[in-house]
Amino acid sequence: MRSGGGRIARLALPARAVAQRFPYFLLVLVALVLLFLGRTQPEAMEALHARVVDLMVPALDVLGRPVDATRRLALETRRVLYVYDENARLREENARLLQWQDIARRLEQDNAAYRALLNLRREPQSTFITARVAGDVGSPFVRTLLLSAGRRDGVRRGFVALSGDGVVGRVVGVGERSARLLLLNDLNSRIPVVLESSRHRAVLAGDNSGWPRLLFLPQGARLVPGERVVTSSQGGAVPDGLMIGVLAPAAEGELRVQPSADLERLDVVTVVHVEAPQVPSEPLRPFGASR
Amino acid sequence: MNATAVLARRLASGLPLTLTLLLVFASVLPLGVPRFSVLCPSVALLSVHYWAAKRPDLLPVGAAFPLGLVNDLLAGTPLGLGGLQLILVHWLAVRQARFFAREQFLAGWLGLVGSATLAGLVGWLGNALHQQALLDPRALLLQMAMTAAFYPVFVRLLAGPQRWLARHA
Repeated sequence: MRSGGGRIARLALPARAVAQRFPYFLLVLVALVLLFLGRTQPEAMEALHARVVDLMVPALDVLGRPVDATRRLALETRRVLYVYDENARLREENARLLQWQDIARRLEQDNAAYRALLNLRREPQSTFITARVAGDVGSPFVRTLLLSAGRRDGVRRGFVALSGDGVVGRVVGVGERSARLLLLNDLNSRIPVVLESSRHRAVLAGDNSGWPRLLFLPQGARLVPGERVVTSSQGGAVPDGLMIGVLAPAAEGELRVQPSADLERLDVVTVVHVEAPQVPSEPLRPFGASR
Repeated sequence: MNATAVLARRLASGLPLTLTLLLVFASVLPLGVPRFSVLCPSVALLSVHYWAAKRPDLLPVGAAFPLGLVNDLLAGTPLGLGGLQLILVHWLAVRQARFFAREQFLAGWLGLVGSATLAGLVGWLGNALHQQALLDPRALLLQMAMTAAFYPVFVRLLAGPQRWLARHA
């Protein structure tokens, strides 16, 4: 045992001497090895990444508490200042929503009747996990957020995250108690979408600017400013029909997607998972045939 | 040397690293400021530049490198790239230390601009190679400009801890 330890010490001695003499050179070498491993062993490095970030998120949570408290105080103060205006607006909205409620109930009944007629299978179940944004950790080249919920809370890679207004991105890395969210305007973000009225399918691609582009649109597709863009479940990567944004002319005159969610001001997001649709186990009956 | 002095000395020796780590963590808190991740100066770069020039004994390159890794882990950039940038900043700052010793503020500032430009270039190249895309450098230029603009404030903020360190470590 002692001889083994002595051998290690003998071997470590020159390494230590080199490290003391050429620390910059040695650390550059370590950095290059890490970069190389990141390219050749992405899964192992990602697991390491998630494990270390798991350790950092509680510290971010603690540091973030005073910031949260200050923001909440500012928000509450603003609410108190505008309480009368807000009340009037909410009354008006409530009256409008009651009308919509009547319409929704009628449509729900119609829908149920049509589903029964067509013998449609039940809608896939959705799971919602609410997660606090622990860190706005982007850089000039990456648009990501750290969430303080991870595998133990049910978050998995590929799940879509929403704010109150629409989709904000997808989970790209999961630790035990943290997750990394790739915002939909990141250069590497790709989300299958459909234009709500024209039903044209496309891929929403971020380019690190505020407004993502649409790729792979069908040839000759006519784009109309103001048209809503929602997620498409084609390919099974994301659930269907989640609001993303509207088509709007960008600075260069090109039509891009203006996200309906404010990607710059996110405190809390909802991570949503829709179970994959089940493949029918029995062959489809011809229309009108009896059971 | 009494126990209080020993404790003060120990605290002092860990101050630059602890302070830098706290600043890095504070810089990623979600403040709700639009484009904050771009507008926020690179605090790790500023801090490593400052301490490497003023007190390289208390923030050696062996401590600057893990700070770069922490930055990479938080931002989700390729692990090692931030470390590489901070090694470069540290190396350049140690070589500029004589300007700091003579309190030549403008020379120190210009030194930082040079370090930030080179580190930015390394970051841009590294990210472009990693993502295999020609990346728009405007956001990086904006962040580097913010880093340079924030330097005088940063130096003023760290002058207090630095004076305390001069007495205790």
